[in-house]
Amino acid sequence: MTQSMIVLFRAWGILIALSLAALPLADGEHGPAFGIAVAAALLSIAVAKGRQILLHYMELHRARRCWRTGLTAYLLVVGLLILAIHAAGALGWHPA
Amino acid sequence: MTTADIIIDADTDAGSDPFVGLPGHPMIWILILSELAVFGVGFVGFAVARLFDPAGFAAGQAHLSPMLGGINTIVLVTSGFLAALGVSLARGGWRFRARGLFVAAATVGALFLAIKGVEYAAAFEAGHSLDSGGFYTLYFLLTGFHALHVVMGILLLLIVAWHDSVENLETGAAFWHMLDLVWVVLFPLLYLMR
Repeated sequence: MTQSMIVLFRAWGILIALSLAALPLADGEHGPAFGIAVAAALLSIAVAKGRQILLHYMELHRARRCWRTGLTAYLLVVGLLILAIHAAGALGWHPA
Repeated sequence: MTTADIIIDADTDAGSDPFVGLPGHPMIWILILSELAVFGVGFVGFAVARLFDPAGFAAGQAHLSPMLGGINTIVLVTSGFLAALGVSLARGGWRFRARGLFVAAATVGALFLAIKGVEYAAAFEAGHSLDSGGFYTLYFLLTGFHALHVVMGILLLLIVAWHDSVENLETGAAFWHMLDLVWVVLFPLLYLMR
């Protein structure tokens, strides 16, 4: 087995573990503050999974740094926007 | 070996070519960027729409099965793993095994669609459809758009398994992994965040 295959197996294992870790977070009723924390945890897991996919499945570890930085930034910006909007709703802000 | 150890800095290679080091045909990366932009707008649009009808969205979400969505996540990342492994084998000259892994990746991708079909059937049975408005309209639009890409991805995986140059396999796999990337954000947004 080559080094790249070992890296792929490890990335796959991490993706499965993170996917399983996210599932229990969706359970139960919770207040606004806890709901925001859960959303932050879920989106952090999503970004971590996305990073594994970018680096190892899509092989951006071989590409120019701007691709790694740009696509990781995409995940972070989308995740933070979703979290900010979710937090606004959880804290009772609604559009007029 | 850490991730940092295996990162190869392509910035020192090939002058100003921005595509140096990227697997597959450069045009697939233009397509990937375009698709990610469209899906990104869809994700943020869904979050904004929830602000207008939090109770309706919560009621709609309550009918979804996080377990089926979670299983589909595992199915899709496993399919992506098979395609990535296929690319690695093709580079080592194992073309027959690489083709087999691409067909396996496409088959596992079809399982994703089958599970999605079970979800859709349950939603339709409960009286929800694309024109239900609110949560379900966006749910069907976002997951349907993604599922349509999965159909195209499966076809692409099978085509490159047939025309199995390393560049073709890399190109097909890159598109397929983009669908993984979209799903890892779509899944928590639709199924898990309450």
